Amino acid sequence: MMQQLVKAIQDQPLADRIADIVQPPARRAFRQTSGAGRTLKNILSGTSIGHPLHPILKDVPVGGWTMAAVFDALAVVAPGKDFERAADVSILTGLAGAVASAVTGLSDWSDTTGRARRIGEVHAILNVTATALYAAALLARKDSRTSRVALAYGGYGIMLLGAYLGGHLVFAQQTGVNHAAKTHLPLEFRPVLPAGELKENEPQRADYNGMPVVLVRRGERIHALYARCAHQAGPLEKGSVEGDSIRCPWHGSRFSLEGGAVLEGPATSPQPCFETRVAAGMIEIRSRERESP
Amino acid sequence: MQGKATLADHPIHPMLVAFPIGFFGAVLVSDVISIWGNPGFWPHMSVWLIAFGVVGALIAALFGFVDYFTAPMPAAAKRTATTHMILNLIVVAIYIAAFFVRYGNPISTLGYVLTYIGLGTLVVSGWYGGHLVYVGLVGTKPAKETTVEGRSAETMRAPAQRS
Ligand code: FES
Repeated sequence: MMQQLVKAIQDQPLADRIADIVQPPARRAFRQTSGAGRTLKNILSGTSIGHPLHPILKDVPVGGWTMAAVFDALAVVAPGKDFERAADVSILTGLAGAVASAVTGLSDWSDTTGRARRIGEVHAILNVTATALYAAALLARKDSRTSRVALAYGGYGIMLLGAYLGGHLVFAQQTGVNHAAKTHLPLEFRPVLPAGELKENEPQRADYNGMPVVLVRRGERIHALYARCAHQAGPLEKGSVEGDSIRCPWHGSRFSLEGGAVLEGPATSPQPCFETRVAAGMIEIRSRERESP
Repeated sequence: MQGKATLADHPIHPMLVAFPIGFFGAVLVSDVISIWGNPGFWPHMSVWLIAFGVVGALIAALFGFVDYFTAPMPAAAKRTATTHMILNLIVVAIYIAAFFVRYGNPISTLGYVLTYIGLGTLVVSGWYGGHLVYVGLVGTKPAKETTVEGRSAETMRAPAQRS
């Protein structure tokens, strides 16, 4: 049944029509290239902590509202103000977490395309609906206990649907998941490009056993990174060199050429980086680490 | 990289962790409220939340164990998984101790200390769990036609995959 839900959503043209209106302003709001806006984007994406932030924050509404469901049930078994109050506190905690999750979610969604964008949109609509139901439940509390509990359980059901879609974004669509993982890193030096063909500050694509690599020459130094962006596998060889870093052309993640560290998000994982040398006129590369992440 | 414990194509363990995280997180809220709230209710509430959290953690752990033994993982991911598992077992042990201490005296200092060492360890352990998914790709199973800017991510990554 859940798979059918996903199937119905992922190729739904209506979702695209809504997204075409909502996404461009969201992109503009979140994709700042410098200053505080840039720092904020790094925080919202989770770049600053090395893991996507949205899936961490969402534990607050999911956990809080699960608690509320438990307390509402207990309040029926053992009537009294205390369990009702505990349920209220849980709903309130969940609401605060939901707002924070929504901001990070919107930021993540602004960088999605295709099916992830459509599924993400419905995920957002469901979660906003659940949040609204919980807010209504808190407001209804004073007047009618029954309508309050009904609203809260309705919200929980919708939240679970939204959560399933969120899981689908991660586990099937691989949104927020490291796209530079599982790279088969070369352990011994192999030639990949004649040294004369690499021009200063012009990223160039090469292959190591079919694995895409991007090479950048800066003066005497030659840098080599895995060429598919950790964020969503964007082509780094089409990116731009900025100082001692390279910026992905798709959503603007920036990686250090020296070690592959993420300097700016939305990527949260580092880019695999290679050791280079020139031998017999050829650029040769090999892995720095002995093992893939 | 999915294990055998899945529901509707998604790994079960990450769904269930909401329960221990929810319960143990709620202990924090309950303890804070007990500073001014009804002293006959909130401290006891914390104790029962810990008990529920332990039960939730053990159920989540069952599915975690299945994944640990059935999900294909490269060596580095396996090490992360081992760390995640050991930390979680420590978390459960700490909370069980906290339960027994606080069952006798809900506001015992030792009880609080144990509770918050448990919570801190849970955060670290959760971090490793997230690392498995978001960096190690464990639990994910790419949809066949995952498109990334119009291209198949699978096709692009295929040459670079180990297995
Ligand atoms: S693919 Fe999104 S920033 Fe590179």
